[in-house]
Amino acid sequence: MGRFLGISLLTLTIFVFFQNCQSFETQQAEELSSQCKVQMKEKVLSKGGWPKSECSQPSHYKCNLLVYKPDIENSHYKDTQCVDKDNSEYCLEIEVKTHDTSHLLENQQVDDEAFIEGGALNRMEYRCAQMGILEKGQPLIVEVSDSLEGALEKAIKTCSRGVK
Amino acid sequence: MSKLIVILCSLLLSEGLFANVLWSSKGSTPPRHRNITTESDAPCGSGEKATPVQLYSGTNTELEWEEFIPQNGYFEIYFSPANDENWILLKKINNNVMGESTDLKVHKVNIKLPDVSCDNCTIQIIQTVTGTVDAKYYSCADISLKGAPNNNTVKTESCAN
Repeated sequence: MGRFLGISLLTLTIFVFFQNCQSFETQQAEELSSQCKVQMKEKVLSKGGWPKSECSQPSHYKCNLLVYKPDIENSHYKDTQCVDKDNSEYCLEIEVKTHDTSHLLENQQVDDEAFIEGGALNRMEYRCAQMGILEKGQPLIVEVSDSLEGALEKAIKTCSRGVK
Repeated sequence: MSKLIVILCSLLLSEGLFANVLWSSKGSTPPRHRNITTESDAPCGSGEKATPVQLYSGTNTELEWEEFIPQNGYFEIYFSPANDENWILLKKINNNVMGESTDLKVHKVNIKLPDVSCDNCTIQIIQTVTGTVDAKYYSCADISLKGAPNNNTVKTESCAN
């Protein structure tokens, strides 16, 4: 009898663990795919309804920087960078990731043009996301530019499409 | 003079790498163009459509793409039956990179193509690089699919919240 109870308890425990594992996977599958994110963005922007202050405050944005250059070392750090907006200076803490691309200088598949300033292997990419308009916890408004001001300005402009 | 002509010709004919993620020219789905395509010019960037490569509906096909700086995140492969719209997710592949960035990486995956016929369809790859703000890079390939009954349709992804 005791043995039977033991086996039953073990089976039940495994079953509960399996169930938890399943629900975790389901949660992952519910993440928005990239194309759904684009669709949701358009849907949410056309509906809009948020106040102008939601868009105009730089503190409502999170930005990061990806650098691809042949003359830098690989690194990952946080930095504070400032922008001038409406005669005020705003400083944002941004995550910076730098990628050394020099190992591709000799690669036959890579054309020299990739190393010209602004080319794929010699450029800076700032991304700013508006952190108040989210879908399943993910920002819908993300814009890219080669400057922090540019990325922020683009994101503010996109956000403003939904101002009531 | 002849050297200049050679350089100009090689620039015109070159298939150099210009984007973070690109369908491979040597694979079954050559890229529409080789420019960097990010969120700002998604889904396929600027540039004319290319002559579609003919593939067969419902068959398992090897797709090949290049990643010039391997970074953590994932790839998504989409299919559009026409006009770069109504994208259908075919596969999501995690991209776990160990340690520092390494040399250009070639990825290959077998995919069952949708069981539809279309003349101007698109296969797209999106690379998501995870970070405080995710970065996305895109590459599109123009294809045609043959072999399926004309009335077959594909089920589009439901994005309902």
